[in-house]
Amino acid sequence: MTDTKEIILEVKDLQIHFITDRGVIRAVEGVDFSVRRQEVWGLVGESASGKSVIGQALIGVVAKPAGRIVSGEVFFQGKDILKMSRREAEKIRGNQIAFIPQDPTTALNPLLRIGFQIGEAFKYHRSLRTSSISEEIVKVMKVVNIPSPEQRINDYPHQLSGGLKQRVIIATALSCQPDLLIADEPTSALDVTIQMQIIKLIREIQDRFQMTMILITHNLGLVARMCHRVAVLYCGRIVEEGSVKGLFKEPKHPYTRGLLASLPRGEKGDVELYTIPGQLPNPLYHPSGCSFSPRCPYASEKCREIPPMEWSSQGHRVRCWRWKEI
Amino acid sequence: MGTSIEIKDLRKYFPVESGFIQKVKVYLKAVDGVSFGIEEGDTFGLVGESGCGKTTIGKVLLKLYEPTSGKIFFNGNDVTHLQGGTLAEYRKDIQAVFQNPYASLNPRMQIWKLIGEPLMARRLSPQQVKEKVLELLELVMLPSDCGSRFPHEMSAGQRQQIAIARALSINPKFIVLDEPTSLLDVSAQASILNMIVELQKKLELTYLFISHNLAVVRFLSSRVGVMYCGKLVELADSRKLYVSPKHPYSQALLASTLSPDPEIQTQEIVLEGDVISPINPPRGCRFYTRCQDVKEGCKEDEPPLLEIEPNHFVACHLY
Repeated sequence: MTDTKEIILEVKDLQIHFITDRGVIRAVEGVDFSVRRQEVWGLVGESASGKSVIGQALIGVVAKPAGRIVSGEVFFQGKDILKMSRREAEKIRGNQIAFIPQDPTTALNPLLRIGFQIGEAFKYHRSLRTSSISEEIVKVMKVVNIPSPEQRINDYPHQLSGGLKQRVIIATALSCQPDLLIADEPTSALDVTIQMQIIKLIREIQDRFQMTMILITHNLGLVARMCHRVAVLYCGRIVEEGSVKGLFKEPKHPYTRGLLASLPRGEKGDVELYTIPGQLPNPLYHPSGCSFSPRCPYASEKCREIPPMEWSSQGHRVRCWRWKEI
Repeated sequence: MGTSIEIKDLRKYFPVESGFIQKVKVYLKAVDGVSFGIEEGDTFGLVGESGCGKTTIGKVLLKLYEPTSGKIFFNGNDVTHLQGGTLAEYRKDIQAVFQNPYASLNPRMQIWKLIGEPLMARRLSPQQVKEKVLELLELVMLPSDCGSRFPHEMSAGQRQQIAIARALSINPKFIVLDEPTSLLDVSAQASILNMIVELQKKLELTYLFISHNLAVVRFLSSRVGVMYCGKLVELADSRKLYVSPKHPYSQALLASTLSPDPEIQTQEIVLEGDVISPINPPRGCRFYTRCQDVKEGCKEDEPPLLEIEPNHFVACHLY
């Protein structure tokens, strides 16, 4: 279904390095992907896999001066964001591409009223008159189901609970009705029942505004619940990408298989959980060749070279030399 | 086997000051009348959201907090108000592993010293400490040469292995595990969970496992208590609770577990609103503000914890 829709975002060979005192950290080592309109595209990986850095690159906030986009192109609706001037990029950011960060407690300025923070994007991108802004703000607050928005508009962040703060952040992201919403772990700082509220809200909004969304997370359950397609990231490279149904049912890459098998699903006294042998490699020294090979039970001679991305079936690609055999 | 640890009508109130002109004594009722027992060699899971009092119960059991009222029994002895030498004896038997291995390990101590510190406090000779530390490293599957390293050289999962080795060093009988895997990646979580199960079999340990992650609790525990705002709302065998939860809050909590299988998606129950504050909770059932099955009486009377089926306790007016 989604295959026929136009591509809204295309990333080609993105490489991001961080220059530190101890050496170069290759956070993202050549990532290609594309996201179609109205699709929810998931990016999963463990800590330090580079998933958040990719999200930052898409909105142009990779930490400088240490972080450098070494190569790559990011086409958003046909234009390369990375080559844009600062002014051009600022017109898109917060307007056509919006971002939901992970931790609602640190993302809001504690000294400013929430109404002001929601309205900032309006003022900047829509240059509305001050009188009509507050109406617009109340409208957005109603969309994200903040109770009694007329009064809440003058609250400060500390007066709100974690769930409400996350709603405020979603409201700021939605204020200009973006085409693309990037959500970096939008629910992982929240309690489970509040998490359900936010998941329901994001899904309703995505449906209502026909928004495209990139969901960055470590939570495979969240991906299963929300996404259409998903890419698995390991050490700065996508190792597998496919439809959520296909990838969870028939994972091809040994890392994806390991991740899925290591989740607790059963009762006490059931079989042991599968554990992926070894540790995540030091980010300063990624293994040469396939970066998963030192931990992979199927590794062979061939794995000393970086495997290419291959299509295993329609819409499903995998980066492994031996995916056919295993 | 008998009951290892038992708490009866445990309460822990924290004073908070309120009022501008006249200071009024107000209490935050973190734990408000909780009773349960843990069988020897068994794992009891305590689940609930932040602020429900689950960690406070763990800390009261460890005698890091003095309970406001109620009793704690360990192997049949009343340990509620232990002090001095008898408290030190009690603490030989009860140890803890905390949530954040970045905060619980002193960054300036080498690994062998971190693990060996409780042994040195027991006045073992340096040689004995060294031998025992090596033994413990092997037990938690860390390389034997990592003793001279510092915590910053270790990954989060390895740090938690060190915390476990440290807790095991003086051969405790009972361990409070307070969210030991919530800060770990799934691959590290799997190996820590396997280790917790292994060690229980090998050393005949009794666990209190505190977590907000229901899948993890199910994997480890045979009996589970669900807490909401300082109260136990449901207490049952894990097999029963996960198949047919009775309390509306347990039902919502279970429905909010995100299954990693896109084809098995549970029916969603989305609770409105937020958890109420444990300062001045409402008179009736504490859950009535968010409950979908709320009735007239729920606002007035607090439901007692009743046994509705053998060994299955629920605090709800529906039953």
